[in-house]
Amino acid sequence: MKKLFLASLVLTLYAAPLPGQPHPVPSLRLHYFGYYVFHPGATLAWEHPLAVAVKTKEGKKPGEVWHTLFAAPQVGLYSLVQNHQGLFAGTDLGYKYTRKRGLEYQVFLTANYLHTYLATPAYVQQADGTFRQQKWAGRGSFMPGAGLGLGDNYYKTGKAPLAWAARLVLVQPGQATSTISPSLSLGINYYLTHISR
Amino acid sequence: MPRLTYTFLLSLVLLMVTGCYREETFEGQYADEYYIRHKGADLPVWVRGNRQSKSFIVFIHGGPGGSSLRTALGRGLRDLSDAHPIVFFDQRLSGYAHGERQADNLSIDQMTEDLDVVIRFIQQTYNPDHIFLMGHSWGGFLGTAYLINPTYRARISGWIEAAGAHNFPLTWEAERAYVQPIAEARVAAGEKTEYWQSFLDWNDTITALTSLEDLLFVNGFAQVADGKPGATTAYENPPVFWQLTAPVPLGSSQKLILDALQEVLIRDDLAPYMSDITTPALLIYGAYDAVVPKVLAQDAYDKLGTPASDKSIVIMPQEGHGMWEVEPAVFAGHVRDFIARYE
Repeated sequence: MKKLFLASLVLTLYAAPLPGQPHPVPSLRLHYFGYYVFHPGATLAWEHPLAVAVKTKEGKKPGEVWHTLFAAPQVGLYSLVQNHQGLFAGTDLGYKYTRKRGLEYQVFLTANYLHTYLATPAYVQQADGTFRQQKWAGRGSFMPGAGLGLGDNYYKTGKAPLAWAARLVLVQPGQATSTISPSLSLGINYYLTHISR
Repeated sequence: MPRLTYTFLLSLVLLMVTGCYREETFEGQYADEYYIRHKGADLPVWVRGNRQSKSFIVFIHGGPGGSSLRTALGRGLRDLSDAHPIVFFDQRLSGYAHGERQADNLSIDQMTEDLDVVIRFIQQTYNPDHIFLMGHSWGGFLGTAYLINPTYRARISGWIEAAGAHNFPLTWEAERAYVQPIAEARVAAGEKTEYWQSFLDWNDTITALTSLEDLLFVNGFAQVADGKPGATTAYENPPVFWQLTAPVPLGSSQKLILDALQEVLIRDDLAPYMSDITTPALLIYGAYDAVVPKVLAQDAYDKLGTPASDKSIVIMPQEGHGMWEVEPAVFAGHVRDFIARYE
């Protein structure tokens, strides 16, 4: 699993935009990350468009719609009070559909390495029967997941170099008692280059 | 900006604010928390309750796959923890224990060893005068298994079996017997006829429970039939939203545990070994318990090696399997009286 995760990370980091893309603009993504929705955390990602297809829609108000394949290497953390803190790093691979007025839908897969740190002192019994505190006790695991999201892209409409999104993510932390955990990812993308219109 | 954007910003602020869970804590009471790391598992241990008492209660949760931390976060045992410190811990692969997600070493021997490590930790950390063991439901089986070991047993001053299932074959048969007249009455009254008739049809065809599917089937009906009709919980547990932000997660590995322990759950009866146990015992069961019916109390009484003067049965007249739901103060009173006699 770790090999799969590392391979996907490397693939993401070295992926280049396809030639002829009209808007291969990367963005920084800063999101609230709620493990089980309400246990607070954050993610920081570099969202990189791997391929963009622009199509013009006719009608009363003609305009462009975007189809974007993206990768987003990310780091994140969350805290489950009195229980553990989680640090993770990995990448999202996904698809976004941006409508004429900026309304945006996305679906994605995510692959991360998660390391948890126990939130309270951890003790281990020694050979002589006494207990010794273990500093920074925690465990590592592979945390895959998938999700979908909804947002509004102001960069698309030229109003601001920003977009926001609310994303539901189902992750499997791979720890002892965690089954598939619903999580919420909510925040903004800051586009690093203004679109010229 | 469109209305959707305002909704987004409002949601973000609300999440930031409501993510700040706080547990009620009380002056003069323990609110200590640890993890015990043992053989691939990190077991959360919470100590709650009266600092003045030197008699500790170690609580073994039910399930298997339940969570004692969830019990600690509720209010059902507050009357008891006002009198004595209670040690809540989650068994491996249960509640919010951390560790390896595998059931290879999930066995009764390993789980009683885990319990002993927790008890040794409490002994060394708090130096209590007495440790009383209290097992609820599945915890009644695990506690009984623990007490069969003479080395472990020597650490315990008293055993409180609260709706404990020390004899699984008897438990499942007692469940069937309890549910049958309820199902018949519901069918006769025209209440959820199809649902209750499905139990009666199944019950007519099954002679003995021989698979995990069988016992989960009958247990599902017992959960519905459990409790005194009209009885209500005497206290309010924290609201759902508070629970969502509390430490205990929604997920668990119960299926993994049930698969690993299915032979134990179907066939294990500790009765042949219980005569070795001479520990003072309080056998406390609910009159309306459909999940572990009160016949188990008499079975434990008859099989324990404890002298008759040191063991007793209490049937809680208002309770189902929850034991401390309807009359938590009465439950706490019985346990306090028992501890007072042996501390």
